[in-house]
Amino acid sequence: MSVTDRLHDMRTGIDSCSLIAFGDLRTRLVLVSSATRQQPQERLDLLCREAAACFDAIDLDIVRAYRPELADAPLRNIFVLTPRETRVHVRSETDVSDVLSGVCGPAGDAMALASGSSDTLAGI
Amino acid sequence: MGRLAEAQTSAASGTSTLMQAIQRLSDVQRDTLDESRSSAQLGRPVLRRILQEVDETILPRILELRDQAGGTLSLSVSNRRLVELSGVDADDAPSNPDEMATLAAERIERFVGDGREISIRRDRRVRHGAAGHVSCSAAALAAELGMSLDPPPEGERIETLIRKLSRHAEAMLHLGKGDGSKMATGPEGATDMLAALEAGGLARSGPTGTGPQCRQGSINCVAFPLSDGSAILRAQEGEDRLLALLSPNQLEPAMQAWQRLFATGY
Repeated sequence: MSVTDRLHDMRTGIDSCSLIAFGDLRTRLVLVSSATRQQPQERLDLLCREAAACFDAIDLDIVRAYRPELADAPLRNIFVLTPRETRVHVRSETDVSDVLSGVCGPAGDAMALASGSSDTLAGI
Repeated sequence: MGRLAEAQTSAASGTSTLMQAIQRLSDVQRDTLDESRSSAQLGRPVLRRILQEVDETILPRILELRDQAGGTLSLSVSNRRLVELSGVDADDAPSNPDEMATLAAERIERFVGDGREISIRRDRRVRHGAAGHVSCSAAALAAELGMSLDPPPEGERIETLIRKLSRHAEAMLHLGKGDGSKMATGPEGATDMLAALEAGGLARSGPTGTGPQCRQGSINCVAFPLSDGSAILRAQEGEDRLLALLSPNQLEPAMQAWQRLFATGY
């Protein structure tokens, strides 16, 4: 199954999901995407830049200082909620520069998107 | 003379037909526009949309809810009240506004369901009013649906969010202009950690870019789960910022609480 097919299957499996993109956090570029309607590359890359900025902005060492038991756990998922949509960014467990970003609506769909993204990333 | 009369009759008939066609086209266009404005939605967003439609309707009209299988539920609405529901037998007809609100909420919730795609069409070609029907207000219907028609005004939403998150959060920190702390609840170590996260870069997270979604950038929420199931949530409205350490498995209800206050259609 191609990466495009995987993204398509994942997107169509979540009711409100309008876009899923696989990107690279180092270059901040989207490599493959699946969307309900064609998206300009700038919009896709913006999504990837947002993911990179969010992962960079969160200093987990501060959390670990308060909760030492979280010592080795990396940051995997970030949810960005706006009045119009919910964006989910999920980082790969095997390559921290791989990211899957999705756009959806209700919180429940965002959680489903996040939980399904790890398997999709592992299969890419 | 006879031929002239025949031609006049024919012309009159043609004009009438043309007028009817224009009227039909006008109706179709109007209905199509109304339907496209009410794009298909799911679950709770569609309930909110229905409530808005009832609350904003003064002149009589029919709201037709349609699911993907072609099933319909029609609501007669007038003067910001729900006047009539399709499919209600005379025996089940409500005898007072409270019963109407209960019955309507139950029928609407059942029709909308949990994951069905529903479109709403407004039909303005309704000539009767509300006379003779037991009706209920949009507010009463909202109460029966467990929703509110009156969201808190801008500027008070963060305070409302704090109240809604109080049972989901181990600690919260409310920051105002600059780094001024307006409120802190929970263990001091946790609120110190939240303050350090904000100062350490979390304030730079959030929507990126210059598109429409980013012009609303001063209203946003960023959340991330931690490996023990707890989560950090940061909500911003202008200068007001709320940081919360959520208890395990409370991220989804916290995000839902934010969406009901700040997002469109939730």
